[in-house]
Amino acid sequence: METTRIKAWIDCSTLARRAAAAIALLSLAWLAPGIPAAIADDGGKILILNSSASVKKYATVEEAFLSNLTNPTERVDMASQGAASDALRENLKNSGAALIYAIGSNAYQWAAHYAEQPIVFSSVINWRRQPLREDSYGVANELPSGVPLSMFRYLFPDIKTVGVLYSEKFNSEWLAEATAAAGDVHIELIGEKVAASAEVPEALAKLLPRVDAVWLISDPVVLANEKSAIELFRVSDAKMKPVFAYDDVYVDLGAVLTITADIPTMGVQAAKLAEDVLSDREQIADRVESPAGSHITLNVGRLQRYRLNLNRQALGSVNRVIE
Amino acid sequence: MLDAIFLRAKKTRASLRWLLLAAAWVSVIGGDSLWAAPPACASQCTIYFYNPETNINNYVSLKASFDTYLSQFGEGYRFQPFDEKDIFESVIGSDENSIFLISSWHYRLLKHKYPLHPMLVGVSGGVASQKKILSASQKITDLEHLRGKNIAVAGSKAYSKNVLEQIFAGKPPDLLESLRLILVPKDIDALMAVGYGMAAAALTTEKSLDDLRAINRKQYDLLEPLGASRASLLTLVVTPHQRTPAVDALLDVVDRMQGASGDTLHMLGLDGWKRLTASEQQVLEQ
Repeated sequence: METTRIKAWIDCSTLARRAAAAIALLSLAWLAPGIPAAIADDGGKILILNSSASVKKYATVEEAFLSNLTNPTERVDMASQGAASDALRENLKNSGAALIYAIGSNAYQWAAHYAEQPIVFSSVINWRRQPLREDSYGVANELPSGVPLSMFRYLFPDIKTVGVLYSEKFNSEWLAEATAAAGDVHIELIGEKVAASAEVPEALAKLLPRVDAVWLISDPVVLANEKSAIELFRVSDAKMKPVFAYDDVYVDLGAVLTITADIPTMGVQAAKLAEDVLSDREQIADRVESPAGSHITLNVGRLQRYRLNLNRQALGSVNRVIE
Repeated sequence: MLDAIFLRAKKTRASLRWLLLAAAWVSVIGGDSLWAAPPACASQCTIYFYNPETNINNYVSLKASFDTYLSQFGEGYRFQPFDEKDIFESVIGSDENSIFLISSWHYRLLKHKYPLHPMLVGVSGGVASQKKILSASQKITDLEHLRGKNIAVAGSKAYSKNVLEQIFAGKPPDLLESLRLILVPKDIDALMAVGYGMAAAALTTEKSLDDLRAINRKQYDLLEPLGASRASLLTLVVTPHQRTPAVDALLDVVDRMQGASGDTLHMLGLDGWKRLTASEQQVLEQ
């Protein structure tokens, strides 16, 4: 994955460049995530239930969680054990765990159904649509809307209007909240409602002339399938409007900017939350807290296609710059 | 000017030869180089980088940017970032043809162990030093109120604890020990973590607070400064005490970055470099 990034970034038009890329790859092998352990209280055993340890983001969040705890832990990879297996239920019963840390939606749903212990979760998409027990706590997967909006303002000081396609069914509350947050950073957020995915082309055509950029949000009606996402990027680009997105997967489709929650930070937060649940639940202000860190990818090469002024001083806050 | 030249060179795919000519031309007409040594590396010349003041982990982009910049000076130059302090320190003293980009805090730790000499200091917004500010939510009016609370920090744990020790000087040691550090990638995350309730306070640079004030006044107004650290110099360019011709060439190449590769410097949070003054050198050696 990093290989692809480096090769894409460096214009390998000469042997020297190829050599530089090879050195880059070799030397990056030296890098290992170094997340120092936090100050942890002694506490009960924690059973880590990972939906699939082979998924990189799940492995990353688990590693950060483990690096920030001193509690005894036991880990279960549900993908290899099978969610429905009796052995898994038996394992849970005999584990002696005081708390379950569930990584991913499958793990959380399974724990919410079978576990008697309190649960801390992370990496669960749309946690509000999950069954939330009284003893469920977690770190949300989505940044508060004010965070990406503040970064839009920071990176693009001249931006005035940002457009959003959304469905009332899934995102009417989010839009109201985001509109207020946009006002705080002097951006006008212009929402265009769609009731069905077939309405997206017409809504986009109405939206594009009125905005400086399009903000792609997680909405199952707007993003019904890959084809509609590709078309959204194609039409926006044809009208010379950059697209900001909520996930790195859209970089390949042409997103100029993506802002996501930082995965290791979520692991750190989950560890702190687990400590709190085991020591003093009464002190917990928010049962589900927002991610505290952001991960920003900026495609500087693609940005040059559009009339959007970049604050180059802000590049120090960008995790990944693509030429 | 070189930015534009660089882009054009990439497009025409005659980059290496063209850029060497361009760099030579710029140095003739206006390059105010610190060292007369020609920027050529006979074998392998390495810039090693480790920064405990940020957790951003933008190494892939930083390395690509540096290596692209360095490639115009010929083969042999390379940039090697580290995110592990111990591994970084293991290369110091083992490679005489290298220079180091490190924080001034880290230099103070290293100077007794290795024969090093600081040559340049980074500049941001016209200044070469910074203070760290501890900003808390407005409900918190005293350091004592932070007991047991989450503090969002964008640096390593060791570095952040050292800065907090300065701010909590004179307070009971157990108060500092009770703080729970939430390591976040960057200052702006730390500040917003307070506004959104994930942390009670944030430890950041003054500049980051100024940035927040400019981009989101409402979030800025939620914060109250509780204390400040001593001023410390920004990123240093440090050489081994015995300077080889390769080291001089590396210094020259790094010094030339100011006009030639603004974005690479911006990715380090800097605008440029300047020579350390005698008084700055003195402060570093205290």
